[in-house]
This record gives sequence, C-alpha cells and structure tokens, in this order.
Amino acid sequence: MVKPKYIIEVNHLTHRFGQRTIYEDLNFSVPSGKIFGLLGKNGVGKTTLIKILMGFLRPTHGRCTVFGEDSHNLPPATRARIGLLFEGHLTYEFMTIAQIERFYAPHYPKWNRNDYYGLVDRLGLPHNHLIRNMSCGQRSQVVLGLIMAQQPDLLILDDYSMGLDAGYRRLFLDYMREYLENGDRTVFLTSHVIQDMEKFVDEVIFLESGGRLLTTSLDTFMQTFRCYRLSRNHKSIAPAPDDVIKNIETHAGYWDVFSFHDIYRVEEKLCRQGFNASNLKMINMTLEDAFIGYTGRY
Amino acid sequence: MRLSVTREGIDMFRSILFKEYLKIRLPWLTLLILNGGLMAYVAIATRHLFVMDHAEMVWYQVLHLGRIHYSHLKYAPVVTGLLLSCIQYLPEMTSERLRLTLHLPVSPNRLIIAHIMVGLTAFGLILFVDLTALTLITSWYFPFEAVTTALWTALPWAMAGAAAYLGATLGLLEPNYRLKLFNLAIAAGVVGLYLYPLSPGAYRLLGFKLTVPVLLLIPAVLLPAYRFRYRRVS
Repeated sequence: MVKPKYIIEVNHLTHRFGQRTIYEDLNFSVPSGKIFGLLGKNGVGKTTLIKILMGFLRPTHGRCTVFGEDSHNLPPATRARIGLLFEGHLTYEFMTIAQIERFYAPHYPKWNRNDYYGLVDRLGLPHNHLIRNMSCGQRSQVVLGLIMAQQPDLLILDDYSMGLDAGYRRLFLDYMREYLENGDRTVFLTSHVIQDMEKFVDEVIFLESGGRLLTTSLDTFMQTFRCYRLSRNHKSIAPAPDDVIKNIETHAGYWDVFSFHDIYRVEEKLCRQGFNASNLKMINMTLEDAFIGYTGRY
Repeated sequence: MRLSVTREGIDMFRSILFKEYLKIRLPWLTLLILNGGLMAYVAIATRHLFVMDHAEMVWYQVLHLGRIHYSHLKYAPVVTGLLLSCIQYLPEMTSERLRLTLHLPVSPNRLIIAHIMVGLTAFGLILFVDLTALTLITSWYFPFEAVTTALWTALPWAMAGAAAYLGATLGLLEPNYRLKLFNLAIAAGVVGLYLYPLSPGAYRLLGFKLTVPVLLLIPAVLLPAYRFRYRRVS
C-alpha cells in the first residue's frame, strides 16, 4: 500500500452554512505518525471540519483528502483504516459490552478483541452490561476500546473530553498514549480541555472564527507567544490589535496584551497608540492562558 | 450496484441483522402481540355475525353483497409499517447515530439495503401472522371462495403497510425538511393507491403488478440515505 506523505490534506477549503462563512480558503496538512490537536472556541467549526473530513458534509469549495482519497468519497478499504470517535462518545446504547464488540468485529480485518476487552475489563463491569446504563466516562472507555480494536492507521477523535471528569480524561489519554507507542499511527483530535493537550499532542492547529488558522508545534507556540500586562491607569479605551498585538483582554485594573513579538516591539506599538507602556511586564502563561490569549474570551 | 454474495457480504448482513434484532425485538414483539389481538377481535366479530343473524344471511352478505367481516384489519398494516419504521430508524436518527453504521467499511447502499431487508422481513412476519389468522378465521366460517377473496382484499392493505414502512423510512432518512415532506407526500400517495376502496378481491386482476409501487420504493430509499451520508445529491 502506497503511503502518502500527508495523511490528511486540506486545500483551499471554504464552507458556508447559508450566509454564514465557517471557513474561507483553509489550508493545512497532517503528516504521518503525528498527534495533531485542533483547538478552537465553540462554534469555530471543529466538528464541521471533522464531518467534512469523514464525508458527512460536502464542503462549499476546496478539496480534502484522507490517505490520498477525496474525503467525500472514501472507499470502504480507506474507512477501515480510520478509527472515528464521534462527538459525545456516540454509540449504540441499546447494546451490551459484548454485543457491540460482536457488531463491529466482522467489519474490520485487523480486529483485535484483546485490545477491546483489555480496556473495557478495567471497568469491572460484566460483559452483559448495557451501554445505556453506563456513565459518560465508562461509555468513553467502550468507544475507545472499539476504536483501538480496529487497529486504525488514523484516529480521529472529535471532542473526546466531552462529559469526562479529570480522572476519565487522564485515563483516556493514558490508554491512548500506551496504544500509540505500538505502531505508526496518526491522531487528529479536537478538545475543549486545553491543558490536557500540553503533554499529549505534537502539533496544534488553532482555528479561529472565519477559518483563520495557526499550525505550530506546542513548544514553538509556548516559546513565542507572550502575554504582557499593562496597567489601565485611568484610560478606559483598550489598545487595538494590529500586526504586532494579537489580542487584548481587559481586566479590572489592567490589560493583558498578547503578541508573538518581544516586549520592546510591543511597547513601541503601545506608545504609538498613546499608551504609557513603561510599566509593561511579561506574564508567565499556561497553555490554556495562551490559548485564551490567542483566540480571545467570548 | 453489485450485490454479489461474498463472505464479507454475509458477515455484513449478519452484523446488521444482529444490530437490528437487538434494537427492534421488544417493540416488534409488542406489535406482533397487538396484531394478534386485532386478529382475535376479527375472529370474535366474525363469530358475532353468526350469533346475531342466520348463517345463510351472513353468507349472502359476505359472498354476494361483498360485506367485509375483517374490515378492522384495513389500517393495521399501515400503522404497523409506520411504527416499525419509527422503531427502526428514530434511534438511528437521534444524534444521527446512523453515521456510526455508515462509517463502517462497507458501501452505504449495501448497508441501507440490509436495513430495509431486515425491516421488511420483520414487517412481513407480522403480516404473515395476520393473513394466516385471516385465512383460518375465514375458512372456519366460509367456503374457499371467501378465503381467496379475503386474501386478495387484504393483500393490498399489506402492500399499503409495506409502502408506509418504506415511505416513513424515506421521510426519516432525508436530511432536508422540504424533501422530507415531499417524500412523505409521495409515500402517502402510494399508500392511498393500495387503500382505494374497491369491491372485495378486485385487486386480484392486477396479480404481481400489485407489488410494483412497493418494489419501486425500495431503491428510492437509497437516495435520501445517500444524501444523509454525503449531504449532497450529485
């Protein structure tokens, strides 16, 4: 089987719902063997993008390919290589633990039931336990077990953290990390819980409304994106974002100014806008702070 | 669409059959019991005719005047077909769970045909019970001629039920609301054709042609399923 250089390629993707533009000329690619996190606020189109990648939505313009095949026309053999976790750990809740394994198994030639039961048995539930009687966290383990048993080359996880408490999120990522150690698999995931991404993903794609996009490694992002704190004094109008200042967050006594530039450049920009930036100081950030700084609060 | 019988094809069908069995078995059993109850009522009502009147008068009314002693059965297949479609596809359309099945590495057409075959088989089993009961009840009180007339009268009602099942499926799978209404209107028209009041047994003249509208509805379901899967027509 010829292995394409990029597992996922998105070229000039435009998508609209009626008059509302979700993306305009979106471009990115996901190389093999990497863990990619697609991060963005609610409503920027993360799930829409996954629906397009899996052929459940037809893009207005542009082309998306998965394993070199058009995403809207993935042949069954290609779909067999993709483990897809639907938002909300969607599954057939009228089945039991054993029944759902029996339903999926015949469809996947590389199916490994040990991967499924190895994970699900840790829940300590009998195999005749109905999925509808499980908590969200337990259901997430069942869904993850089914995806792992498929032995997919690409895992697409749409908001895996939805409804999970900290313990189950950690469990989910730990299992996933163990699983990914064996084999050259690619992961493309979305999540609202930014701090979980810090130790898990190799690269992040920040998606903003309108489809503005930043693809970077987490290390590079955290090293280059900075927060500077500026006292508000009596000035009530906040500085305006420009080519140097990415975003401003207004607080009671200060502004947080976010930028990819050093303090001198930001200071100069602020002075030009009529602010006294002599007391500007750099603030340490977690990934979540940086994410909020980059995408903005609501 | 190629529907060759391969090992993969059989495994796929067994897997879908298994899922559908788990999903519909209890509601299906309820429908079966309700239909059984209805046929028991038809048996009691038929007996009541002979209690209230002389046997020769009942025979005259049924065999010569065309009185239908099982008229309670007329809308039962339609209601059964509608409910069966809802039982089968509403859980799939809730949160669009059908995407789980349509992501399986199988052609969407094969998957949908497998679902329809399971649904029509489940419907057919219920109708088999109804028509068998009708045959037994009619043959108990009337000559053979009345049995064939009863079956040729009830068969279009059964076809109306199958059309109702397929029509409701058309409506449930279609993602666009305007097309959903359009599909339901078409299906209602087909159901209406089968329920058109004619003299008992009149449809026997049509023979096999009676099934054509229902058979046409089977591939018609593939289009809304395709539109659901890919959200497009072309």
